[in-house]
Amino acid sequence: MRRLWAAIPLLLAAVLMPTQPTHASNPTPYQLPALGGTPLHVTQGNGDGNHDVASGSQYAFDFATNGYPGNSGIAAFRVTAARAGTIIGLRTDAHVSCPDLSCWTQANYVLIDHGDGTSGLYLHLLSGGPALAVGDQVAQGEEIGFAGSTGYASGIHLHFMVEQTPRASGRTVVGWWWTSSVPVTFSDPDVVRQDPDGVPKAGQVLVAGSNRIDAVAASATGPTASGRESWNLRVDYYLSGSPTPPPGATLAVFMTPMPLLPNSVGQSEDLSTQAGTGTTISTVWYDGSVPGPRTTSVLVCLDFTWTAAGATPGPGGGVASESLQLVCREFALVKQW
Amino acid sequence: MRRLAVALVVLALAILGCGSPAASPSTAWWVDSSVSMPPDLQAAVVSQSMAPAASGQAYVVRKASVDGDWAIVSSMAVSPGSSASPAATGVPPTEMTVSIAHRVGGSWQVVNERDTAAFCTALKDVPPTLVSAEEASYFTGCH
Repeated sequence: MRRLWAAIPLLLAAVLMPTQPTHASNPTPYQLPALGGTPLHVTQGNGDGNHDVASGSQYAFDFATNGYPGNSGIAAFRVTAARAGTIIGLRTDAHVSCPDLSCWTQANYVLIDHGDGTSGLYLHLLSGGPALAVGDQVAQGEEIGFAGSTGYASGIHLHFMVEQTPRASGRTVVGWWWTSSVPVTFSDPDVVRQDPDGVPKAGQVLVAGSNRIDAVAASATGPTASGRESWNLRVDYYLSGSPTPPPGATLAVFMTPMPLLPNSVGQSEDLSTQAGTGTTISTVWYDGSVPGPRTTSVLVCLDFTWTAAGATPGPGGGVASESLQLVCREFALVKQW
Repeated sequence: MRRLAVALVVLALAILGCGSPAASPSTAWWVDSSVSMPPDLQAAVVSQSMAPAASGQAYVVRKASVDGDWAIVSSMAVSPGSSASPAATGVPPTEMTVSIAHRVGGSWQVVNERDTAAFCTALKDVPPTLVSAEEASYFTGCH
């Protein structure tokens, strides 16, 4: 409980501020275009294969993934916006894939204008995907589709490049969304760890993203004999491990739901054995049932701390631990009865 | 005479390697057994295409179209010594790379898109039956 109270100022700060960590040594605005925790295989980097000057894609990247999540084949993966911006072009109804130039314009894609003369092109997406439209504002990390093989591709992957924003006057020409690429770097902790220059290289496997948590399910059940409602929240989380604890340190992860209801309590859970990526369930109780459907919200925080090897945690143990990250998100819960 | 001998050796190697990429892992380019193309063009593609050595990848020809003295060839990146199937080998897929071949004086001259200046010059002359205007617009670096 003391831990909970001590966290309140930090929780308030987390509500008011974005939860994405910053990386002073690599201030690029780009993150790998996949959900945090996705292992991306760089099948072609800058200047590799057909990423050349003639095609204008010399600064492009091809990302694919094997066996994520949970299968052994080359899999589609959820594509996210590498940088925030406005959608100025997209196609989601293409089903054609072929290994020659004849279908290069037949790809599903999303083109996001960054507002500085550059746009992010996400190519070869599966048909369908999230409901998006030209003019939509997209946040960094927001899902924009699934990797696919539509258009000029030899299999499922994402072709991502930042390019010069097409002129508005030329946007009726077939293939108008394909221009000349520009160099970019990425801030993802795993990219920085493997590539100090921030540029992914062919053959590398890079884990996308920084710490994050997402709600994957939420439910409420009826009051018990004691008059308690039970609100269940299932969250998916990913820890990037940045900053990295020193060797031998013990990583502790606590999930703390903070009910935004009076007379309610949350259950703090020790997720230390699940550090990395995974799914867990937390429960929030509310004393006293309120009849009728109702929506409320809960603030869930993951508190990552490490304890140095040989140090004694807790009072009297000296400076034994240090907070790594406090990641919080607010989720909506709906009671149906 | 020495040029002829070299050409014959290259041609023999290309024919031996046709359809069996695993047998020639040191070759940066080979031709998939499903692709039909004239032997002299095949030999030229294998011997003249620019090897993308920087990425350590090899290339397998997946499609070839010929119109008179011109040809366009699409090739797929794979790991050296692997089969042509990325799904079978676990080699993640990417995109194709394009080569243009032009027969001059009875010999095929092949230029890959990585050789920017020569490729862009060839792109202007290749018949539209092989590369349409829409297809050519993909090469933004040539315009």
